[in-house]
Amino acid sequence: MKHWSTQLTASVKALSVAALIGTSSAAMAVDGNTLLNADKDPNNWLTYHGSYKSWHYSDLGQINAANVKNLKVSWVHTPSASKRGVQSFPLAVDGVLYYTSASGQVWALDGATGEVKWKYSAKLDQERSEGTFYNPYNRGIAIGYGNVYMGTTDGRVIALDMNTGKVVWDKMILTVEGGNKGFTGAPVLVKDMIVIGSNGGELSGCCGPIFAVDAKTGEVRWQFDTIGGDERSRASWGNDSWKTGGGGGWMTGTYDAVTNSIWWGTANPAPDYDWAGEDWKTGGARPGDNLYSSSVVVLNADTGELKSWFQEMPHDAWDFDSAVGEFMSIERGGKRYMVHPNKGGIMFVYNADPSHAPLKVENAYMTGKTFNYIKGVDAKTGQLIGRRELPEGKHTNVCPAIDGATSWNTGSYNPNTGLMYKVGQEWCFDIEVVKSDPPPAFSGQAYFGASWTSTHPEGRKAFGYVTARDPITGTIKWEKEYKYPPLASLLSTKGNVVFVPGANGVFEALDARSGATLWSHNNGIGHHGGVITYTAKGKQYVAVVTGWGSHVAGNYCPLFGEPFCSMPTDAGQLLVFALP
Amino acid sequence: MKVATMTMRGCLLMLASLTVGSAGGVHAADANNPASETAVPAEPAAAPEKPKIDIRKLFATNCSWCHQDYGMKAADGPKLAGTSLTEEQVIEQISRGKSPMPGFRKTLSKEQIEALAKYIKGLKDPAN
Repeated sequence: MKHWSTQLTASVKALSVAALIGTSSAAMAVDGNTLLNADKDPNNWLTYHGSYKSWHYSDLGQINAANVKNLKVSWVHTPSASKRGVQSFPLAVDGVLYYTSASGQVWALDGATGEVKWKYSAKLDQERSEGTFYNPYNRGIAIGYGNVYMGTTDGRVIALDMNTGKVVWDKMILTVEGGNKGFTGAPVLVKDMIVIGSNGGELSGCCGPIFAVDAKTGEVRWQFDTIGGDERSRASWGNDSWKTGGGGGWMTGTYDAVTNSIWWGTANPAPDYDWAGEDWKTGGARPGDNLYSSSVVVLNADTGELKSWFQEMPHDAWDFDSAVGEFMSIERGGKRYMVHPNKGGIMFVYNADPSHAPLKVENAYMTGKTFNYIKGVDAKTGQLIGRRELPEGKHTNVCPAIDGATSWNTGSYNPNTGLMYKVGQEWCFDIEVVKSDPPPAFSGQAYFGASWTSTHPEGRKAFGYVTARDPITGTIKWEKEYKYPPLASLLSTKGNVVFVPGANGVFEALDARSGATLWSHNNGIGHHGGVITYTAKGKQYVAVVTGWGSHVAGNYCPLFGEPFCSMPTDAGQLLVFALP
Repeated sequence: MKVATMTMRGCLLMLASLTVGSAGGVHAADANNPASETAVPAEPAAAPEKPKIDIRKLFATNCSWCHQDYGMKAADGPKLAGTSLTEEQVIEQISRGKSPMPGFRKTLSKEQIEALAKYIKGLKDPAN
């Protein structure tokens, strides 16, 4: 660690200089050490979650609660491919904005003007990419060592020169014999490695891997299999069902330098849905707990070795992944916590010390409101209370629906208010579970068996909200209800503003202290991607991506009607706002 | 909703009624209820020797991720009931896909794809 500490000191000094002069004309050298202090560098947005703390918070305050009402569109970029909308997070380095659009397109733009500096379009294996449900999603990039890194839906990781867009290396990382797993989530730079997880919770096949790839060469350093990788996991899948078990880690985790650990959320088990019902421990398609699906895993960053884990949904009967959302690193009262949302509408507050195995749960609380798949969660142990199983046959008014009480986008934590801001969604479904036949082991073929219809919660229409709460205790400070549940990520700033990209296209700024609406602008199409802030030539900008068309978004037409029934699913933009 | 509130026993009856021979023996479901018990086998139960196709199971395990309520409701994918495509076009689209819909020609048999197309064309849109 000494080597890293030495570099860290130099990196902090470099950052301090850069902060003093605003943005420099010389390209900033981003490496693993730079990211250790990304939270102290508000001029840039260097990694998917903003920093390893995953706060999605910026110390910039030029735009603030007093003047945000004057915010205007500064420039707009329209990518040439945006099927299912733009779902990614832009990154900003030295006044240059980098972002991805559908089907593996990467753009580098002048952050002040939107002028295109370069564009890269991956040549994808379309048959493999289109063989999944997740095509052509791309949710972002990593930057470091002079490169931009992107995963692809056909299982590759590509490094591009960040100044020219030229390919530095292009490696096939995820080979699934005859199958169709790939990458849709953004990679994260850790030390001198790129860490990225595979998709495919609903696809038959071992092993839902998470990879660490050498940032300079593209060689795989290590691979952690989220299912079937160790005896504990295999023993939790009766009848060797791990071989068709799904898993994966399709969204972006984080790195905790204090313990040299990767924290990553894992995907659901296949099949969706198991017909076993109450007999799931011994019967059905995948008897047992199905480790490490729908879990949090903590890995040695250097080796990929499992240090600890916690299974948030033992034998997940509802498709409530742990892959969604962020790991917010928060210190309070001498304790270090990792706060992580589960799709089922539970916030897990973990002790950040992975020497506890399984992880020690310091608190767990429900964020969902109309749930009935469980009666609740034990705050002290994180164990589910009163499971509602879904055996073969019909079930009405199951809440939340397969889409969860929260989806894959992130919340935000503002250290000034001490509040975590997070979106929630409330609708249900009627489902008929059928016995699905397992595809061939390791095949990567779809493995699910159910038909469903999204429904409104009993007694009221589907709805959503942004909640501001103490992340550790869960105590709510304020909440704003939305007719159409927001699906995008949130951003909070030192200027006491929370930016909320709305489902109906309205982009809002709320007062971080009260939830009062301070400003809004109609971007003309729904949002379900990222939002960041950065500076270019000393001026603060806010960048948000637009576009509509994910599986979750597909529920909005049947639930709400217009504007969603006529909202295109092959459009989207990057919009950048600034004060006049 | 009628389909959703039927009993488990009724559900099993429906599944049984929709289990059909694979050699073009699948039949269209009732106009407003794709799982209607009005459907009748196209061939005598003892006649076919090929494996039978349970059309609801086939739909649920391949199509329902995007097409809700056995094709009767729009969601991520369009409502299939009342599709303007011909049966041949439906077969083509299931086989080859149409981005972002995946193609199924490598994972489903010709008979299964034809059965799905016939089922989909038999769905009537209650709105029309």
